[in-house]
Amino acid sequence: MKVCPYDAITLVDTKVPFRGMIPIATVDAGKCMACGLCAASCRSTSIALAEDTTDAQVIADIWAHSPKAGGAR
Amino acid sequence: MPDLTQAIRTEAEKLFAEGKVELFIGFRPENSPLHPQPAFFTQANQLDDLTYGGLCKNNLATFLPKYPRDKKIGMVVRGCEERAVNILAVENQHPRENLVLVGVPCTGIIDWRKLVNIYDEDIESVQEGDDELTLLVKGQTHTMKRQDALHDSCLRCVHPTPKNADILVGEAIPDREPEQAWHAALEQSGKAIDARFAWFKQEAERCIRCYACREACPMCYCEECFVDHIAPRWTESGVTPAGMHGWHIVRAFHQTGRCTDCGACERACPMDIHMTYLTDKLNAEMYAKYGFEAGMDSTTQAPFATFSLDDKLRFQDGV
Amino acid sequence: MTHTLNVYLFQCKWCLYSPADQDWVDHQLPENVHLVKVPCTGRINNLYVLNAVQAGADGVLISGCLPEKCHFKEGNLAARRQLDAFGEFLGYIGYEKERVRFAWLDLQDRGRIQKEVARFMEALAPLGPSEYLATRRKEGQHA
Repeated sequence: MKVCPYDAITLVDTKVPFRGMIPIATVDAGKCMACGLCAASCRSTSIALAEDTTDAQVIADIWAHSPKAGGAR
Repeated sequence: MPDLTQAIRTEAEKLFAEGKVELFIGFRPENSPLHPQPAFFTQANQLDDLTYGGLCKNNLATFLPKYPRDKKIGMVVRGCEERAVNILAVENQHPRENLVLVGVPCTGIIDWRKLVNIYDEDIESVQEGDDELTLLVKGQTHTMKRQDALHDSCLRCVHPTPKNADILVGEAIPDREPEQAWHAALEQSGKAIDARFAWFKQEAERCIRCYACREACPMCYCEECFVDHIAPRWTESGVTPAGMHGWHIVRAFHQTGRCTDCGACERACPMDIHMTYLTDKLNAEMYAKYGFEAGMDSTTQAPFATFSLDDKLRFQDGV
Repeated sequence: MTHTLNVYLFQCKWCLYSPADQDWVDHQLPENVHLVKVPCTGRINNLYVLNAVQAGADGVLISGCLPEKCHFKEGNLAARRQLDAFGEFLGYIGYEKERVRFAWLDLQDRGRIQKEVARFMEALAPLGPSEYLATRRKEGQHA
């Protein structure tokens, strides 16, 4: 799957505990521009960025502003 | 329907004798006549236990990612299973090399629930004829048309014959038109929104979050599923409406461009949830928008795995 | 009784070139519009949209750059296919397709974001409040 506009991600055979030698997405930090497209596309949501706003913060923000039932003001 | 069990056994024996496989995946009978189970043969002398028939309801491709990539594996595949194997190869989950696929043109998988709904759990045996099933129920013989017993996904199947199997056992069955595969989804699309939601609610809210569907599906191979995440908790984990809706919406959506419509999910579900109407809709969209059918070869990427500059014309402002 | 419809606006932080527009989005959005700023519309996971819908959003507006103008090259195209399909899929389930809208802004478009928000609110008015999928709305569980 190729969503990174900077070709910063390659699949590199890596030894992973309990899973053996498997291709794992590896990021070239020199090329990464922190756009987050990889994180948005990953179905198992296994990619996180070292960025100002994490997924957890976005979701917490969405819930903090959940409208009241009925929406009436 | 010809009994292909012996033909498959013969091929598997040859593969072991020629050293082409270390493992052969097929099915074996179990105490309950309605539920043959997947079986993993490591030696030719075990193959007497191998069986094949319409009641073999699992998609065997789901087991491949669990094995090392260099293991020589032989496997029985029907149309949908072979397409799942192709997708696993495209998605880097298990390479096509080192696999020997024994292809079986499929006359449809029987929906065990359709039999149980009529005869309860008293079915002692099921014999498959060409167009009919003969059931032994509490000592009495009953017959049933095969068409009436098939799983709904099989009634709509477009590609019953594996296209790229290494060995084909039995006569190839021709393809059908893709358009007829999705009429159930399209019929649903034609309804008013409250009717659509009522159906979704009725189906999804029976869910007990057992994830049998996820285990049965070859495309659900994620080491950690999105529902298992706790930071953030993407969707509620219990049997609340939000949780059940979220699970079904997103699981179906993650299948977009990847689902082979095998129906294993529905056959595994203990609550008889009809979930293929969700994936059907998405498969229909992928075909209509991108001319794409999942698993037709082991190299073409699914529509969501790529994009094109032509896409800018697709998504117009506003509505 | 008029219900004020609640909208989540997912806004790419690069697409508003004019400081006036940027300021409007940051400080002057109507009360019923909640801003979620993202570095690129490509960053928007479908799960964000799902959460917004389940939180009670009556509409979701996704605003970003035109493909040729994306700060991250053609980045926003990658997720477009998915977001568009997800919006339609929600329509199939029970959240009207019209409640999920995209607005792709050119850098030259001054004052456009205000118009898009206003247009969206108008389009949502006949649809009324979202009922079916708003299962985790505050103060009141839907059955």
